[in-house]
Amino acid sequence: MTCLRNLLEETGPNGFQLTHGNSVITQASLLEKADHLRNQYPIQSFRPLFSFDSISAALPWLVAADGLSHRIGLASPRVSVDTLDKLKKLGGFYLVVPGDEAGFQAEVVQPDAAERGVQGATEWVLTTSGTTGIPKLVPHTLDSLLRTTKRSNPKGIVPVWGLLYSFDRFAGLQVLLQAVASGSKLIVPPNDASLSDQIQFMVEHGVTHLSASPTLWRRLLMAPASRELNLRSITLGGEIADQEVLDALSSRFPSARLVHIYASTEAGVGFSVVDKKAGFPVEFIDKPPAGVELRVRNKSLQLRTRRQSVSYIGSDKQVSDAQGWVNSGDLLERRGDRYLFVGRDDSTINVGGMKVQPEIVEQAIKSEPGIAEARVFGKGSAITGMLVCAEICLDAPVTDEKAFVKSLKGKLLNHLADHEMPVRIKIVENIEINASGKVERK
Amino acid sequence: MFSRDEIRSKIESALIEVFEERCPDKPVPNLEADTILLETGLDSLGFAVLIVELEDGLGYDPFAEAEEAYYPQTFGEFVEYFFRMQP
Repeated sequence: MTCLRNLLEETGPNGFQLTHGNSVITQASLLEKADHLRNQYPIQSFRPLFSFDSISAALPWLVAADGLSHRIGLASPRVSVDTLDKLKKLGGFYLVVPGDEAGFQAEVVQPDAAERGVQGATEWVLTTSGTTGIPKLVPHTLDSLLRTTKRSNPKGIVPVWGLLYSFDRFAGLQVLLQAVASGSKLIVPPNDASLSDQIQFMVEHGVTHLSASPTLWRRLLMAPASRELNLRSITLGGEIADQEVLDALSSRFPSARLVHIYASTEAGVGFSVVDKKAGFPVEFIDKPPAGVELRVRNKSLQLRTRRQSVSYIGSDKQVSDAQGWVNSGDLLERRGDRYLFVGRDDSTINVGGMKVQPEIVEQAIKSEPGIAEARVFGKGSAITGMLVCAEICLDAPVTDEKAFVKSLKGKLLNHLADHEMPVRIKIVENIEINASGKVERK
Repeated sequence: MFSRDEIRSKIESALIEVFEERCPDKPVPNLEADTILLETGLDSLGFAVLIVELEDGLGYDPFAEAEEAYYPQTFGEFVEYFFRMQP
């Protein structure tokens, strides 16, 4: 059975090493810290939900718990106390936060007898990126998370990975696991550093491999210091990569390998494209990339892997159909020998990797006084991929529309996250409602 | 046609407006030609909002119209791009 502890042992004492700000954790000291935690706490009899800001504080816990606990969860330290509470209940978790480690022994949730007998791999539970309402709990195993990672380094060159994502997110965890599994160095800038300082930190520590969302790459391209990065490998994920950002990256870093990853949290990992072109080759449908099957139904990409997250934890909603196919919701258009991503089959708006449900924004707008109807939709952005826009109908005309919109925006700030805020609100005469009584979306 | 100075002053006031809205606790940056955009404190979403505001004010979005992606690094480059890309 694969577990983090075994992976670390396999890479040997000169293998994995984490540099996080001023602290350096070697493979040997990581194993030692993990064993210490295993000796100190009854890890096998509870399901830890880790909500840590610091990767160097969290990693020993992850190594200790993987292979012992039935289920471990990762939650962003930025979610509210309320949401953490709900996550705990949904997943039967015990919350572990930094500084509170010693307190939990007394409070450990005793699993039922059936669970104590569970054998096999630890379930890794990630929370999806929705910030409004309750994040969904998506179960994985270490094997499924590692499916596309390389266990060895070609030509004996040891990559130096930089991490710019939070490690509690799918994309960040992939970088962390890749570095552990291949025995590489992982460089994580201090948590409170500005992007310029983060880049400087990565330059100083010789980062050669870097993964980021297209939105973050565009931001890196705007940073003069990024010219000093000596990158061999560039990975894009979390959003659809457009040709513009791929071109800009290949001209800034001409000798780097350029990989864009298509993944849906629901389907586990997806597949990668390495030819520096947007979309993916049509031949992927017949000759799919390792371990994934692809098909197109109603213009939408569907994926099937050998192991699928079958359903969300604490929910009846099925992720895949009876044959194991997961609908990604991403719409495709064929152009020549290429499939390009052209939008969503639902109304989800992806703002720099954060998914926004327009219905939730519409609800927030309509709950303000004076608003009769609202329509929320996405607008393309060269910086964040998409942005949220809104049209509103008023109960009665106002004399100063600009002031009304400004005050509305101010009120919405109390209910919506930053990326959910409509950047443009237009007052219109009339919003079309379709036969089922819903707002018409294009 | 806007002059370079007109564009510069429109961008400056739009940027400060977006900045004050999004970063009420931070000091408003001093915008010189060589000011690094990233160091103004605006994040990606802030720049995306700024470009929408400028589209409303100037009537065009050079980033949407360009065939090749361009990522300005300094305030001067940002202004020059808007000036050069006028329809």
